[in-house]
Amino acid sequence: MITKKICLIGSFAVGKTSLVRRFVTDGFDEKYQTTIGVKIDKKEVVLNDQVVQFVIWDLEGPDEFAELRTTYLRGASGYFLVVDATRPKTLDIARNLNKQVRETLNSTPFLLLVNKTDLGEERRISSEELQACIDAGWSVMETSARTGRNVEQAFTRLAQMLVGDSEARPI
Amino acid sequence: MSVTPVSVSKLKSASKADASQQVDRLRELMLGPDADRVIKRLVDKDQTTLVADVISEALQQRALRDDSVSQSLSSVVDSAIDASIKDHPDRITNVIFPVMGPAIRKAVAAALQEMVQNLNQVLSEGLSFRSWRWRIQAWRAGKTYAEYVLIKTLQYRVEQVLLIHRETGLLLQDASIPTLEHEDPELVSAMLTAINDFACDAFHKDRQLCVDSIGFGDYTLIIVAGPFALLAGAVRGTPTPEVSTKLSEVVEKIHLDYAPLLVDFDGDRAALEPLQDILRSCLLQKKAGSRRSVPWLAYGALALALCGLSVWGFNYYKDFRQLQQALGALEQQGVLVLDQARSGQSWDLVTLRSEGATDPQFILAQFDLGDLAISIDDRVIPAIVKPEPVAVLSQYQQAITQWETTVNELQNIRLHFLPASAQPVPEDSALLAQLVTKSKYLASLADSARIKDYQLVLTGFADSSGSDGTNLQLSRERAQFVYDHMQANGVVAEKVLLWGMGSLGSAGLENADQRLVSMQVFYDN
Repeated sequence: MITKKICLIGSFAVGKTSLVRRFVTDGFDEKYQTTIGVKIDKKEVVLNDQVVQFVIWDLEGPDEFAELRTTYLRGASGYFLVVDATRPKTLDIARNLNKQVRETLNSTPFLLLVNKTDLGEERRISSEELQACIDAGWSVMETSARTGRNVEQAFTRLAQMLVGDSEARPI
Repeated sequence: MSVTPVSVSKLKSASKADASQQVDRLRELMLGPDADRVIKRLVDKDQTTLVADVISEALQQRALRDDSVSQSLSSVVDSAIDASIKDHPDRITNVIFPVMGPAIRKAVAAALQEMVQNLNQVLSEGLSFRSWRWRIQAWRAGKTYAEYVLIKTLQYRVEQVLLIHRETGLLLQDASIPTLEHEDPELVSAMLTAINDFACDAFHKDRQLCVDSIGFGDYTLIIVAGPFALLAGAVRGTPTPEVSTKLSEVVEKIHLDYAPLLVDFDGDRAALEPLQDILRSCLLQKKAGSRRSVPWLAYGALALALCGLSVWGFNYYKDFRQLQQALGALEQQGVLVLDQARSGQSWDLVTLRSEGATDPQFILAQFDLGDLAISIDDRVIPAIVKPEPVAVLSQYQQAITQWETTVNELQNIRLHFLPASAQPVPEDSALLAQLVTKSKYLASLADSARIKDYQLVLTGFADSSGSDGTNLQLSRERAQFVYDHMQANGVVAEKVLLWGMGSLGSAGLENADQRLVSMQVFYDN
C-alpha cells in the first residue's frame, strides 16, 4: 500500500467538504458548515491490485478575510481545484489560486472539478470557459456532491494521474 | 662517428622499451605464463594479512565511537546462530546447560517476588481506604476504576508514538500500548502536521522549527523534529526529561540509519517496518513513587494466615490427643475398638466387650470431647473370665474373623462329579482336599471363636438326565462319597451331616454343573 497526500482547494462554499464526504462516507448534508483551517480524511482506492491510500486535506476556502495557507499544500502529490458551477467568480478565484499553488507544488497533477452540476438551470459557468481551461492543459470534470455524480470517478482519475495507472476503483 | 641528440633519445627510448620487455620476459620465465595472476594473488594475500593484523583493534576503536559494528554484525551473527542451532542442536544445548539452572532459579525467585508484590498491591488497592476513595472519585469523574488508578499511580506513560514524514505529514510508522483505543494514527499525523504548519504560519517562524509540545487534559504530546521526520509521543501524566531525551535519541538513530528512505519517501512504508521495534522502545512508563517498598500488607496477610493455621492445627492436635486418651481408656477397661471413623464433628465407633466390661459410653463421658457427637455400635459377648482383658477380646475378634472367612470359603466350594457316577471329576480332586483341610481348620477355630456348636451339611445333587428316584439315590451317594472321604481324613464324623437333593432341573445350569456336592455350615455363637 502506498499513501498519498492530496488537497482540495477552491473558493469558499464551492462544495469541497461535501465532495470529500460523498467520497469517504457516501453521504451528503444540505446544511452548510464552513471549514476552519483544514479538515483531514482518508480513503483507499485500488489500482490494479495496488492499494493507494489518500490522505485528503480539505483546505479552508479563501475569502476576503482569509488567504490560502500554502504551507498546507507542502508534500501533496496531487490536488483538486473546485469551482461552483453557479458562481463564475469561483472559476476566476480558482485560476488565481492555481497560480499560488503552482509556486509551491510546481508540476503536481491536479483536476478542476466543476461542482454543483445538479443545479442545472442555475448554472452560470459556460462550456466555453471550461474549454478555455482544457485548452490551457487542465483536466476538467463535472461533479455533484449532492447526487454523487462523478465524485468517485474524480478521485479515481486523480489516483491514476498520481500512479500512472489506467484502471482504478475505490474500496 | 657523431651521434645527434635526437638519435640518442631514440636510442634511449628504444633501450627503455627493450628493458621493459626483458623484465616482462624475465618475470614470465620465473613465474610462468600466469605471472600476472600469481602477482595479484600475492598482493591480495598481503592485503589479507594487513587486515588480519589490525581487524581486532579496528573493530574495538569503531565500537567505542558508535554501535554501527554491532548493528552491522547483528544480522550476520543471527544467521550464524540460526544455522549453528539447526545443524548442531546438541552443541547449543551443552553450551547453555550450565546457565539454565541458575537462570531458572533466578526466574522463579523473581516470579515469587513479583507475586508477593502483586499480592501486596492487590491488598493495598483492594482493601485500603484510599482504594475506596478512588473508586468513588472514579465514579464521580465518569472513569473506570482501572483508568483512575492508572492516572493516580503513574507519573507518566508514553502510550503512543508516531513517526511522521516531515515534508508530507504522512505517517511513516507508529507504535502504541496494546490496550489503548486511539484515533487513526494517519489522521493524527496529518493533523499534527497541520497544527505545526499553522503555528509556523501564524507566528512567521522558520518552517524548520516545530511545535515541541502540546498539552491537553491528562496528555502531553511531545514532538521531536529531525530534518526529514518528526517523532511525536502521546504521554499520559507528567513526563520527565528522560522521555524527550529518549525520543531525541530515537529520531537521531532513525535519521542515521534510514535517511535515504526518508528523503525519497513516496508513500510506501514497507521498507520502514523495522522501525516498529525502535518505536516500541519509546513506550516508556514510570510509576509515581515507584520505589520498591517492603510489602507489609502481604507479609501481614501471610502472617495472619499462618496464625489461623496454627490455631486450627493446635485445636486439631488437642482433639486428637483427647480421642487417643479416650481410646486408651476404653482399651484399659476391656473394650476393644473394632472400627472408628471421624467425620467433622461426629465420631462413629464399633466396640466389642465382654458382658462384665464397662459400657464404653460411660467411659467416654469422662473425657472432654467438646461438641463431638459420638455414636457407638457396642457389641457384647458372653464372658469366660470376668472381666476379660482386651488382649483376649482381640484374640476372639481375630478368631471369629477367621471363622467367618473359612465358613465362606467352605460354602463356596462346588465339587463336580462324573455323569451317572459318585466319583468326582479329576480336576476337582484338589477341592476335595480343601474341603477336608478347611473343615479341620474350622474345628480348630471353634473354641477361640466361642462357637457353641456347629454342623457341616453336605448336600449332593444330580443332573436331570435320569429318573427322580435314580437322581435322588445318586445325589446321596455323591454326598456320601465326600462324607466318607472327610471322615477317612480326620474330620469328626458327628459334625457332618449329609443328604441327597436329587435333580434341581430348573436351575438353568448345564448338566455338568448340576452334578455336584456343596457344603453349608450352621453354627451358634
